[in-house]
Amino acid sequence: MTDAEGEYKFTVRIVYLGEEEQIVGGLETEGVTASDRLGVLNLALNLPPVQFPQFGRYEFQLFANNVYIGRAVINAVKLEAK
Amino acid sequence: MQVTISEVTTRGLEIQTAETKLLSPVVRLDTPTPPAKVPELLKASTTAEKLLFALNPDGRLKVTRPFVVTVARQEGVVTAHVEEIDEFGYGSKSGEALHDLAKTLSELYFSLRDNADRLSAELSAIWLKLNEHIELR
Repeated sequence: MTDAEGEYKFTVRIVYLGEEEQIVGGLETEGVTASDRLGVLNLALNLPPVQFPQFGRYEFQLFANNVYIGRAVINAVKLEAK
Repeated sequence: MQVTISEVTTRGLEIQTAETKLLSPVVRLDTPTPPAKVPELLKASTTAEKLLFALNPDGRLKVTRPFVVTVARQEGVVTAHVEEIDEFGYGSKSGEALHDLAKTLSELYFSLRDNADRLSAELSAIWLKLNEHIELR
């Protein structure tokens, strides 16, 4: 990320994109300090085991100090045995 | 951005940089006994909430102050509405609606900027409000 300056607390929401959207989990970081607005801030979140209750699409929503700043979508697919 | 995960380690995907410290372990909301302390954002409903929004889909712009956005589901469509300037984003999911709203706001910014010298009073007011939130890099 860039354009960040100051202290941030990041929140990730994990949302199941089924017929009805459902927040299935998430996390909050400790305060992260960005010292240079023109620099790059690497956010490395190692998610411990998160259970995806169903196969399908899930969205990771990223918030900085409770402000929505982005998302990423993944597919949880069932691998068929060969 | 969409990815498909096909292989993970027991700790998740490998990360090449130093890990960011977490305030608490991952919160799982599907357990029989949910954790006592759940972040406020995780208590919300993604299709019925009011949130602060600063998603920027255009590298030429930067969002200097977040918008207040109301997300709602109506008849199968999710809307993301900025009441302040009465602009909407639409999608089948909240994330799509928010992304659509971000594109709408950036298109509106350039459209109003290109015609700034001949805007109606109403559009001038929107242009001024937009400038309180967005500026060129």
